[in-house]
Amino acid sequence: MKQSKLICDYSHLASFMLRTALAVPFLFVAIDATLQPEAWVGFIPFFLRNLFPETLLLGAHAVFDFILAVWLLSGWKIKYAAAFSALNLAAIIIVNLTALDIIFRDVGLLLAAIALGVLQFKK
Amino acid sequence: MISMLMVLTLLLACSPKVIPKTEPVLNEEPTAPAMEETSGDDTNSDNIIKITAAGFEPKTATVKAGTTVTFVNEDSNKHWPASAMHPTHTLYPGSDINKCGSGEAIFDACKDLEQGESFSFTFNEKGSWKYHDHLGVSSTGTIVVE
Repeated sequence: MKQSKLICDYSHLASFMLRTALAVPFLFVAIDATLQPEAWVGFIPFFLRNLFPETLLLGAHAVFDFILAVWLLSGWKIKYAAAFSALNLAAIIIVNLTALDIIFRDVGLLLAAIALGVLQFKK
Repeated sequence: MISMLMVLTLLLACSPKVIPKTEPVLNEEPTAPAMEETSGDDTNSDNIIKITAAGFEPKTATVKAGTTVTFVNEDSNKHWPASAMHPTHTLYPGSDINKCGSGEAIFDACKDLEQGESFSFTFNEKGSWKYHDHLGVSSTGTIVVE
């Protein structure tokens, strides 16, 4: 009984750490992409930039990242927040795969998002 | 709060590993003779790297120290060749995006190159220098200076 309570507590702590680990970079991107758009526009593929204005794409992504960060920190319906985080990160990795020396951190974040989702389903 | 500090520490701990990571990869790459094709031309002694929709051509170029390399944008999209790493551009010695506008010669176009525009830089430092397109980070290349 005592051991199962302990595992449950560790699960909550792990969930909190994973949520924070994902929310911090999402918040950073949302803020920095607004302050220094030229540093982030290079991650958006040219085919998208030829369809929509760069400022619109960057702004939309910044808002999306901000909402994801707040959602993750809120603790509400976390499995969906984890799923959206994983999809977001997977998309970034796929379109920038040849720049792996820059986006290698995103691979770790993607796995963190998947781990967060797995933790929720376990409950 | 403690977990946030741990996360930030982990994020920061990753950064210093970026620069050494590039060196062994570059040394293993075979030398590309492409740059030598333009070096014997009397009317254009500079070496040229084309920027196309597919990226930099050639992706790896080998030049002698003191050679001026010219990046020419042949694509309809804008491009911005600059030293790795994105977004600081500090891999090549002396280069730094914060020096743009200072008048100092750095391995950084420091602006969008429109179609037909070019950027030239003289490589004096020996080594393998990775570069990228600041406006499309998936486009990368290497200049090997002997």
